[in-house]
Amino acid sequence: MSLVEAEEIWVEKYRPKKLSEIVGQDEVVSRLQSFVDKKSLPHLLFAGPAGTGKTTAALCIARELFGDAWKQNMLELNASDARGIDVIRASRDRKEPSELPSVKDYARTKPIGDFLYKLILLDEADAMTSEAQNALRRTMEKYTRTCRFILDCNYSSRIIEPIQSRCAVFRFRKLNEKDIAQYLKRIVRSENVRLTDDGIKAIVYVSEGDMRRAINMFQAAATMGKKVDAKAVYEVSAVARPEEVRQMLELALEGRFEEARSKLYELLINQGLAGEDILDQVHREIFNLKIPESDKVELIDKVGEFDYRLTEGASERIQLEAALAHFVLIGARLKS
Amino acid sequence: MFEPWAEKYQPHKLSEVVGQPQAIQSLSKWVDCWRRGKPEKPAALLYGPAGTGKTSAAVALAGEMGWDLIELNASDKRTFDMIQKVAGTAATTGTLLAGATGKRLVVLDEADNVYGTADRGGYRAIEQVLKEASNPVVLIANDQYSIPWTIRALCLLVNFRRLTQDSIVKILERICKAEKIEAEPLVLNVIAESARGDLRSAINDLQALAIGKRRLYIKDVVVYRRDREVNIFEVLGQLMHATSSRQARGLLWALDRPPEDAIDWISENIPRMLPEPADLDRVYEALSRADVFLGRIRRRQAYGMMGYAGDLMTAGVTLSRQGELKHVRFQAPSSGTLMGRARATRAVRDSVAKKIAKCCHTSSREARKHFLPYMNVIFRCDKKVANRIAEELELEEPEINYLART
Repeated sequence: MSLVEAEEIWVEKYRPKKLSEIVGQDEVVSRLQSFVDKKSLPHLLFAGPAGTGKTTAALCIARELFGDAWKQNMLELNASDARGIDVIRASRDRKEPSELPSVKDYARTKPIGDFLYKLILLDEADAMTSEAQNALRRTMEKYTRTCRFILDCNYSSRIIEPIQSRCAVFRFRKLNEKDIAQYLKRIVRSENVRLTDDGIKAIVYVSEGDMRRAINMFQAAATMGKKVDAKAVYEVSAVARPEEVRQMLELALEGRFEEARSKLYELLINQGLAGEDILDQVHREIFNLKIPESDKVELIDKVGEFDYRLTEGASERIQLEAALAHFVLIGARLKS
Repeated sequence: MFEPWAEKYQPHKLSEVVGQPQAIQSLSKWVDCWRRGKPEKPAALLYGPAGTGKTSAAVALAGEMGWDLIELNASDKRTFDMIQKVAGTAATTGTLLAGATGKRLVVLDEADNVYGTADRGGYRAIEQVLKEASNPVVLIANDQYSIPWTIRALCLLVNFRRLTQDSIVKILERICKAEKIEAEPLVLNVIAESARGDLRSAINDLQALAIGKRRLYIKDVVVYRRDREVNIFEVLGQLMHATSSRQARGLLWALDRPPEDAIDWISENIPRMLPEPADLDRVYEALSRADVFLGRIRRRQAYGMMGYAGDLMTAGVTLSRQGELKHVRFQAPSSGTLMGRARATRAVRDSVAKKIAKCCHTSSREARKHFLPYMNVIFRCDKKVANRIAEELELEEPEINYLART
């Protein structure tokens, strides 16, 4: 399935195919372009916020180096989907069979076609455990002749030193309104939709500088009607991020625990939302609540604790109910 | 020797299946077609809640028509080859007794459980078998939408509904007569009511109740129900009055349930007894910590943690309370079955996220958090685009339904 070019999802349809088409990262792009032009590539580490062009840059490099054979000569792995050291290990050394290709197996085979080396793109490399990163480092050293690595992360500090020192580091900056507007206007030209200026502002605000989110939101708003203005954007956001979490928190703050709990079940069960996603929204909603700032901080701390417990394998239902119980407590304190 | 009444009183003919008039009518017509050749739809999908007669209907059908019965269950490791081997040949060859003209009924039970990467070939194999079958095939499932539409399109869809209290009572009356048991009025009603449409469990309850008795009194039923549930309720009641950690911990043993279950009962009921917000918060803190230990057990098989979990959910809970206790009616945890349903939804959600992730060069988590909500809007507002995306991503019916949900 990944061999088919996606045409229907705008994030993919309009993803730049050449480095020069990437917006907002001019310095990075010109340096990368010179590597590509000379066909001489070191290992690369791309660091920066989500949706700023890191993966796109890697894919463009692959296309410009390999032309039509780019898919055969690039392995793409997302480290957050498979964190452990097994991703790196050769298949035969793995503890458990996995459908994911192994970095080692891929790295040791030669490129297809008349190329000097292959590419391995590791997305969200900062999600890798340090054990895995160490294994990766050894692989990078061993196969440096046949393979170049492009690592992609949000925080370069989470990548171990030895790997950082083997890579050319590129920092992608957060996109601003101009960048996003420029890109959205390209889409407007091809897809028969109207995008107003306040629509652009709204998209920029809600997407928080993340181009992927901006385009998804734009596509969704465009399917709702012909004109995408601020109203349409907020409508889509509301539909995509409903008020229900806020309602649940307000019930808890009012002391109506059992009702809040029922609302929670509805989110968990009917909507099939994941506990950590709900807590994410809770976290955001805390800022909108009309309570003193010090209480907000206390709640954030608590919510963070429950989120952490979820990562330890605790059950969603109980941890989220416990979070609600704390809201009840804060609410009661405020009343007295 | 113990003979389950649910089996002893199983229907032998389709006409004996109670409480599903439309389903049986549908099935009978389908069976008639097989008598005369091959019906338009060689397979039937029987779907509905537990204990409503799906498997019995299939068995009765086979018996009545003199067909051999071959049963495959979702708990078998279903691989492409296995289904081909067993169901494929079973579906296309004749029977031992009746030779080439005889038919065999292939029953695929829990057909909604094939979903998932381990059984990726399973549904494809089923589809192929259904297309080539010269023998009748019956699929049995709880949720019809978990089965790909390509397979459902090949089946006669037969809906089994929850039985009414009256139908259940009638059957219980029949069994009592056959077993020479006299029941006081209302006894059977109470049993039927607690069964909530599941005939099998009603019959099991009747049998459990009637062991060694000739007459059933209403108090027996109450006592029986009490034995099953109130034991737990008594313990829960005592829990909040315990004065020492040893006493509280001891109650967990009395509860006779593993900590993962006990925590559901405790967290369902105890919080409702606490009007003091500070108590609610403290008790939940104890439950939350207990749950963390349970999580560690789940994740790392660290069974030594069991004790800590148990202590925190009993002593930790009891001794956190400082304020008043409210009297409440205890109830069974609702979340158990609800979370079970959620699991199915999430499996679909996660598989969609995975497909999007692969197509869009991102992680499943990112797809789930930031693509799914917008896909939901698109799928609800523009069916044409939705169809094109569904085709591109190779989405299955339950996945499409999930994305289009309101």
